[in-house]
Amino acid sequence: MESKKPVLIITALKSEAKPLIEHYDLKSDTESQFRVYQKDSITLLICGLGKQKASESVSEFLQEFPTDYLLVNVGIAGGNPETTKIGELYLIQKITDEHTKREWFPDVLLKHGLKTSELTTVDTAVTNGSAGFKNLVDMEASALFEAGIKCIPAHRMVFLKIVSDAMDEAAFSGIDVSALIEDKISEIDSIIQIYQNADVWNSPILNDGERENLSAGTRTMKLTATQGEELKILAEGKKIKSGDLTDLWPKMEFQSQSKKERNDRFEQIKQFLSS
Amino acid sequence: MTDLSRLSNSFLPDFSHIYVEEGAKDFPMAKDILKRLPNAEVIPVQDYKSVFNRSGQDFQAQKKSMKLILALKKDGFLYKATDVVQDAGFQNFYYTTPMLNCLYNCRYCFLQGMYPSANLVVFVNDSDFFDAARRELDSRAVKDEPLLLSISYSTDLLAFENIVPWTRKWIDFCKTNPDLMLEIRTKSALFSAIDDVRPVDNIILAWTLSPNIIANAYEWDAPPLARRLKAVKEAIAKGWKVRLCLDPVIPIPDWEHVYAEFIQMISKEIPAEGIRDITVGTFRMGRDFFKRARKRLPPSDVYYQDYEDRDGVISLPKNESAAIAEKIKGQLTDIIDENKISIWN
Ligand code: SF4
Repeated sequence: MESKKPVLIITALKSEAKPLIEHYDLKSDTESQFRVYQKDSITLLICGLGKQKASESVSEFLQEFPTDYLLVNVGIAGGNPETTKIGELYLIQKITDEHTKREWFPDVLLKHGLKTSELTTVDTAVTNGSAGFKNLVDMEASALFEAGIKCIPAHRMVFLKIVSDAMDEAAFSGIDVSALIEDKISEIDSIIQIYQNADVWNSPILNDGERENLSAGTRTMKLTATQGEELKILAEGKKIKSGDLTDLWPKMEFQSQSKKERNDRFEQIKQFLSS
Repeated sequence: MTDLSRLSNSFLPDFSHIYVEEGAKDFPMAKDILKRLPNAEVIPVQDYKSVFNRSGQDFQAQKKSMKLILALKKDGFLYKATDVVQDAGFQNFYYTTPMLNCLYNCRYCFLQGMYPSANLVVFVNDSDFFDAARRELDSRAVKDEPLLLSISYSTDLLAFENIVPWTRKWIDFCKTNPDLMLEIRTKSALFSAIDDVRPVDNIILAWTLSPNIIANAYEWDAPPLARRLKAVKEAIAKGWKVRLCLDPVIPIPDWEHVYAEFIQMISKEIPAEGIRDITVGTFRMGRDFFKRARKRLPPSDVYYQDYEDRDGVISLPKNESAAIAEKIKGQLTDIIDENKISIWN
């Protein structure tokens, strides 16, 4: 059976993460430099509060683990009471960074059944009322998107926000963040499953083993970078047309003694791949 | 609670979302489109490029649920045509891009290499396009020749007519500007959207036709051959003389036989007197677009043939493409005079 697609859940706070850790029975990776929890296909990263921590944490994590993830940011957000409701879960379709004014757009391709909203990411918490913010506000999403989009396509970035307050000081102290997330856990899980089962992951033409064989053969034959690139394209073409590259590998187990010998052998392989 | 599990693996319909550029929303064409798609989620954007040109888009994933972007074109209303576009001998040859991207998803299409997004941009400031066309008409280099304008360069404009009546707008403009010659090239079956237009000489309706086996394998989401032929016949019945485009001819195994049968079928289905001319071409694409298009997944074998790079244009080796074109031309002379066949390879 095909293994489940990898999911990276990101929360800013431990209290946002807690219900998810319990639901997926995630285990803390104590060896890691990141605050990370993991089990099977689900990894959860706590990035910390605010744009800078979010950006650094996600950039460094994806650099260290460049996996073809579904990125799901789960967190609380302040909501304008005229357009949003406390306790409601929203899927975000546009993120505006209040400071840079830059706009970010997760691609929403799949049916999801959730309410949708736009979101503004601010530098400091808004506690003086929702004036000026038409929808939701948080403190990480724009930075998460900016860091994530370098590795993950826009159609596999999902931002789920639960309204915790109406952006006023009075409401801040009594918020039970974990309870808000807990209450929406089945919707969050359904969204993750919808994406995991959907046709939104691409397989590269050459699989891991074929790519490794090709690099090994390129090294053995001491091909130049240009020759290596040409060979990769021809190998992709061969794979598309015939579905199989097993006859290629023995031809690349050849240590040439001179440039001429290498180039002659390279030409022979090219002919084989073009046939 | 919503039962979300039943939604598994179902994509939102095309145009579930419409991004509307600030400044575009009050244009009549934008209002009209928004009225035609009342269930779409409307998302305001400062500049359409922030959606269309952003990084991290997956062209083929987006094709499964294309979104619409309404924007204002600020400049570049008409472009002088390049070598890759057929000019049929016209010296004042231009193309225009009232829309970017296409409803269809032909595997050999250069749009996959040209744009980072599969979403469709519709420019709604139509009068700016017509003003630019008027200026170009007045200042065209060769005054005793018309200005030939291709309006379906970066899209299949007619295919979109039920949502955006851009084709009709150009037709109306053309009717009052006799020095303009319009080429409307399409694979759509939507002749019905303009079937009330009286045929005129300076509007060329052009249908791209391919054998079924090619259409099925490479012209994803485009109408099957039978529906295109029906549209061609409807146009001819209304008095139009249509251009047929066999472009690109794709040399699949046994292509000679496949195309011979296809051309025979055309000769049976389409009355010769209704054909204005026929163009024949083989695959060609600018080098940079080609490199980008080849990276799109899932892959297509179109990008893995033995091509040559002729001054930045990737195409079949010259002798091969010439031989294919000659062969096709030979078969077409049963239908139409040789001098009405133009070759592009
Ligand atoms: S119909 Fe034309 S513009 Fe549209 S995808 Fe096909 S080749 Fe490209």
